[in-house]
Amino acid sequence: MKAFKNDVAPLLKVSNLSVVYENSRNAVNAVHQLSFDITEGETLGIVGESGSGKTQTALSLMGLLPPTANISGEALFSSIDLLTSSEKTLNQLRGESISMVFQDPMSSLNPYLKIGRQMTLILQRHRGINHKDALQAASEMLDAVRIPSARSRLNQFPHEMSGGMRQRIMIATALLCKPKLIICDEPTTALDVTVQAQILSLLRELQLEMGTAILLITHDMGVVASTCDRVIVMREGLEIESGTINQIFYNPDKSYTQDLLAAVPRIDSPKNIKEPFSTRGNHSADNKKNVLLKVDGLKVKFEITSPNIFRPNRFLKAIDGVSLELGNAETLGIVGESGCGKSTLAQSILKLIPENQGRIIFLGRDLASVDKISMRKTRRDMQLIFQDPFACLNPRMTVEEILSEPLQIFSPELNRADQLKQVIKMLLRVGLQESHLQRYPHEFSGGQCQRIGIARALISTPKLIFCDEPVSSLDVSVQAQILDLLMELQTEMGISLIFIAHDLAVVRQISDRVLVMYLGQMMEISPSESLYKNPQHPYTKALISAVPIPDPKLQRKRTHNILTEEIPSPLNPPSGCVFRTRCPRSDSLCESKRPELRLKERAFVACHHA
Amino acid sequence: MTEVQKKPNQNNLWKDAWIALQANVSTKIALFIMLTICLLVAMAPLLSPYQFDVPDWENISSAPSFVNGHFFGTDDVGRDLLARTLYGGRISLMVGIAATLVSLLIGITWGATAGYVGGRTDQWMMRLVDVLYGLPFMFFVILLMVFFGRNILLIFVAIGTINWLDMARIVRGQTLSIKKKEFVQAAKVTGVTNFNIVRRHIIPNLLGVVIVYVTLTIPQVILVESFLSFLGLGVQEPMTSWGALVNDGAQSMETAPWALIFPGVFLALTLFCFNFIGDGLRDALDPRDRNK
Repeated sequence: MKAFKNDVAPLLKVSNLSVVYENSRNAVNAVHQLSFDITEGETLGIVGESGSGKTQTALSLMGLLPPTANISGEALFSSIDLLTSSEKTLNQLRGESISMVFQDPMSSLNPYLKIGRQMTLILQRHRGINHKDALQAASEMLDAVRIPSARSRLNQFPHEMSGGMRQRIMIATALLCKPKLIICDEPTTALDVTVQAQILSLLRELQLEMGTAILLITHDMGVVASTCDRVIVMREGLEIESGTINQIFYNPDKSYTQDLLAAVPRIDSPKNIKEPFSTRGNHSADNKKNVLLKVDGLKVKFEITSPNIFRPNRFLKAIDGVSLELGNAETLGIVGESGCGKSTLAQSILKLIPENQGRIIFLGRDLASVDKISMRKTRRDMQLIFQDPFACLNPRMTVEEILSEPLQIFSPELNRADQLKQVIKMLLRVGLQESHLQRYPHEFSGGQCQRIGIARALISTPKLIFCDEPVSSLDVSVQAQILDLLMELQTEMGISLIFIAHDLAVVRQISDRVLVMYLGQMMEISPSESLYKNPQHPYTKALISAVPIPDPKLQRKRTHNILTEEIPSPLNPPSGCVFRTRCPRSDSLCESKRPELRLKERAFVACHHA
Repeated sequence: MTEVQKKPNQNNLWKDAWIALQANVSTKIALFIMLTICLLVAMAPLLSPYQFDVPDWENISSAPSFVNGHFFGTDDVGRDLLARTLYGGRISLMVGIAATLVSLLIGITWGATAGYVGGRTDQWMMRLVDVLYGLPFMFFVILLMVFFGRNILLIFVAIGTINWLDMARIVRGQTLSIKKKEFVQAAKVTGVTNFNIVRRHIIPNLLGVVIVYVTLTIPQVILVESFLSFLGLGVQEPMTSWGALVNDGAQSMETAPWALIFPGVFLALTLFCFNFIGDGLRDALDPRDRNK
């Protein structure tokens, strides 16, 4: 951590910043009387849950708020008030002295402009240098953010690059004019943990090199712990608490900060795992013979139509030989980077994707032999909970209609009054009220919508539920509630869960066993505790070490074996072991032979060296 | 929350939409005017003391007058314009509504099926639409006239068959994006049949776009009909329509402005009303817009 002096004049001094949105009926205080300052070379974190006003703060500093926003207060940046300056002055500053990195690298680059053009535009605007020099500067900056073969990248379009690469380009673009301050609004939220670790360490290194101040806006306590010097905790537009990182993490004053920290699932300690979990562990051990789902050598291929009609179409192996068993009331977590096939696995077991090889045996029946009509009945026992709580509910149906739809199909013998009774019972069970029946999804919060989604999945009393990233779009406090609800319902109804998530800490909390996938293949499958305490596969190790721990001292002491390479294209996976291109231990054997899953201690590992 | 237990009702969307529609003042006014126009047009023989096709030789090109009973005046052959406007309204409204209904029915079914089923079926269905697009409209109308003779029904058929193509394309595009939404997948997992997915999950979510398009289609159809009439392919004298009346009126605008003004006002009012009703319906059908 960098030491900083308090007597240095602050680079940016914000006092009494308020952002108010008014309409005819009421006024909303998005930000209320917020004051802070940033000195050169410092990283200030603003944390808070959704609606806390953290992004509003950032946008108001950049002058990017809509004209309907009522901004008051003062934000002095080298004696210019950012809040009252004209568009022209701001344009001088933006990109030149202050720049911004946005959350979604997929949408913050213009898809129609080549990378080089997007970067040189800024240099030409602020430095007035010619195109050739600007290209040279841009390519140097790409080198600085560790993008391999930077020169050729300048001629590429954004869609030709991965999310992590694009976020690097965003950072390079932000750094082009060597600004004094970078505002990063959730810079790693849309990225995989491995890529997040890369980006965070890159930001730290660049800051040391260039002495740029960073205003980091995030909801992730782990990210804060690994990067920030000082922290402001916000809630509903108000500053709850501010202080140095150690104060906030080890000695928080306000109960909200304490709650927030307590709600964060931690990958390093299982202490907030709930009591019923261990008992359930035994329970599932008893039922080991009682296999609910057996998947044997599952392969799923997608045909990619070649743009050239004279070339044959290629196949993308989304799932390449997955075999697993799931017992009654057991929870299997599936983790891996995006594109590793975890969601495809769920969809192919649910037969939402038709083409597959291999056998899926569910409740003793081979699903390949099940026709369309009896598949519909089988679905009663297999349900799905989705990632996006809003998108998974039909916006034009009331809660009652949404919840009674499965009943009409699976229990047509029930009359309407009985159906309604069941719907109400379920609704109360997931923590909603009867008065919610006639409301539409948009009237609920994300957490409530996810509860409705859970109720819909549970109302047909299934035996197996796939949870596809069920909590990743929710705030941590809500996340904890939803996880608790899932675990309670599981013990109550004896359901098996397949829990797909990219957040390894969450998976640890809920799973009995964990499967690690990479490029459609199984890397490791082992009981949760041994996987996290003693990971066998190099990929598992890298994944776990990439997850930031919300504990600054511990986090900064940890050794990170960051995966530097990009994920290879699944269209053209490496020969032999698919992980070898990023593996520190790869050798000629890995190149020639694909490792089989074999038992090591309590884990099944697919690695020649484990 | 005083949400008293409403009785379970399948058509919640429509019922709630109706309640929301009644709260919308401009839509309510538009509905009222539209109903009045419809009533007037329906009761044409009772309201007008003259026949629409019998010339009043004593009052040729008469200005509106209470004395001779030609409240809207007469045209250049002495026919009563009140009667003609009302009778013309029958044709215009019928063409507008019937052709739009035809295009709605075929367009939504065709587009939603193609979009939802996808793949090869989609390709074939949409290529057929493309082929039909390629047929010149006028040629098509003349062909129909040659085969079946002049008949007002043919105009409905001709306009309807052309208009559903646009509708099908719009609906297909929307369906493609809606079918990827997670709630459609949730319905599949729940075992909802494909027919019910389209009916319950996809079509209600298309309505916003469809309704806006319909409010644009009705005026367009009414205008197309007047164009056909102008070419002599549409309604035949002495029968008339708003489009034909406006067209005639425009030619004698300087000498007899009333022949343009009265049918013009009716036509414009109708088109306005459809727009307001469409706007109101779209908002009412979208739960997210209702509580604003």
